[in-house]
Amino acid sequence: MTFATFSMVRLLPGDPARSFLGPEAPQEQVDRLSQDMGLDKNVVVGYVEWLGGVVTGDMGSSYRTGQPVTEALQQRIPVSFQLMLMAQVLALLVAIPIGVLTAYRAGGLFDRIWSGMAFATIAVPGFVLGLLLIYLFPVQLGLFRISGFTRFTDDPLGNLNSLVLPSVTLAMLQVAIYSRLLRSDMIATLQEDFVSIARAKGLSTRRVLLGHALRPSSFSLLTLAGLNVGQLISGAVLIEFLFGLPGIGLLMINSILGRDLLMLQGAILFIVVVYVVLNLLVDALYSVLDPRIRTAGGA
Amino acid sequence: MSTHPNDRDTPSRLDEAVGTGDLIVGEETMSTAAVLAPGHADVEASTVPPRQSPLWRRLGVQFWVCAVWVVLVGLAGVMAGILPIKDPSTSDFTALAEGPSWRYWMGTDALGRDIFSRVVHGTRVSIIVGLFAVLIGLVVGGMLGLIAGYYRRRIESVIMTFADALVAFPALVLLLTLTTFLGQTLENIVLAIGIVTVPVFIRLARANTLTFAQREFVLAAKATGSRNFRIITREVLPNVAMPLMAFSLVVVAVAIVAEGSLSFLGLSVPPTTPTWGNIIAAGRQNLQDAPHIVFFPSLVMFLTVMAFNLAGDRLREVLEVKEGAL
Repeated sequence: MTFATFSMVRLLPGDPARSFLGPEAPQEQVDRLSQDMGLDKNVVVGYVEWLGGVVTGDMGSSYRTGQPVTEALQQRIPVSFQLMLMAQVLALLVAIPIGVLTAYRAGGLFDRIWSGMAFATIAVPGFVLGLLLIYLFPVQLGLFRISGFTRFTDDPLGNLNSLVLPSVTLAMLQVAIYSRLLRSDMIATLQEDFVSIARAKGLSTRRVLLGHALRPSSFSLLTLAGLNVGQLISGAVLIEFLFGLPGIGLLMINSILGRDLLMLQGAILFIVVVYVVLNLLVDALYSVLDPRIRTAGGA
Repeated sequence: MSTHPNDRDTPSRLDEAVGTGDLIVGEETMSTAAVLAPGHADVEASTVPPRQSPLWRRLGVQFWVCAVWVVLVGLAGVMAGILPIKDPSTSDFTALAEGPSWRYWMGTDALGRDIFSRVVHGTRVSIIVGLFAVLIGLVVGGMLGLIAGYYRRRIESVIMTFADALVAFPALVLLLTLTTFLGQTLENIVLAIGIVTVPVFIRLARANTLTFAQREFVLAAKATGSRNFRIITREVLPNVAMPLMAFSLVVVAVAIVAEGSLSFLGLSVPPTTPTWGNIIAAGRQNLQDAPHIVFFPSLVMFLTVMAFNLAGDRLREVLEVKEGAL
């Protein structure tokens, strides 16, 4: 996988040394620069050297700014992380009540309206949704920041302000999926005997729904929330670009546009590694979360 | 078989993995009906008794409204060059970033170009990418999935490893890397999006093949000495093809969004060709004084994506109900 990343990036059309120095630069200068960059070496040799660097924490420096890749990644990781965390928490906070409500009154007015809305939200590309929110809030109502980012340590309120719209956009894309999944699981749970017993005991609807039915219904939701990180990353790339948030996604796009090879390799490698590790963790969590898998033999 | 003690419980565990795996892939790259469908299908299946009215009637009005819109958009894309509309790249400097009017149905952009005409021309890229990318995914992924599901054993694990490796990249990241690597031409965008959709089709085709490979008619064909190739093409393929094709409508929607996203990032076809994504991206600067530039292409894109989603989902539901009644 690391080799795929490396060779893919290396085989980009266009000579980075040439595009860095501009079309007028003399050929010998271009040659010298590409020698400095290690571009004249064979792909395999270059790969081994690069991988050696990755292991020791040295992933080279940007061609454009001279900033070490590791340092650039370190600066940008917290931004992307905070964005995705806020979006994920927000999505679950909104999706769980909606899922419970639509399952409880399945077929009711709210359920039918939401079902239509969920379908519509899913057809909206993330960047269109983001632009719609930008138009509604900052442009029309003068609320929230359109773009840019403030570090939490500099100004906590400004930090939240700069992340409200991006995380809402990212969250809205997930809410529809999460709430529908919880709804279908919850409908199944509500038909179980123990729910009828809880009702027969005279417990309030709220107790039955939240105390008894929610927990067994939420396993696949939680699993999905974990596995959804891939989509979250894809969404975050677009949204960082749209809102000018200096996260990994924006770094990646700028590196592509500027043919900044080492930076691009570093960004892709980081994203892929995080994604793979998270997937493994979620796989492991799945059996912990869902007791049905553990007791499958006994049942 | 007997060489591997685990082999016995492998099929069931694999099937289980396919179930969740499909959902996740549906999530990751598809994000749509794959997850919406369960609840939806439950309600439909339990309330609608199996009827034997003709297929076109069972699909319902909504499906046909979607189909009409898709055909309309498709025709607009095909005939963009001969329709009596303004040139998409000619500027009218007397009407810069003007709102909709009789002369310019959707207004003009910041350079005074007719947005209606640009949207119609932009349809070409979206439709070409949507159809051909999914065709690649359907044919390549479908074939690999059939082979994996029918032959099992080693070839299955090779194919599934390949599918898993492709899924190991977040979809958009893989897409960005591929398009940058291949270069930004229309053919390459089609190829890149096609490659990204392949693993989804592999999994779906394999899962469907698994359910049919053990059915009586396949076993009967085997018993009468038909060759594998004949069994796959005559017995298994016709049964697997329908759900795959219904699903591919949903994937077309995803491909259109993917192309739109690339265009929006400026990483799709060169900016001289109008696409929905790059019209929207260009309108971003004028969001305050000329929101129509972003609004119209977004609306057309939304309706098209929605139409493909609804149509694909409905088709899947109808086919599933039929299967349940068997």
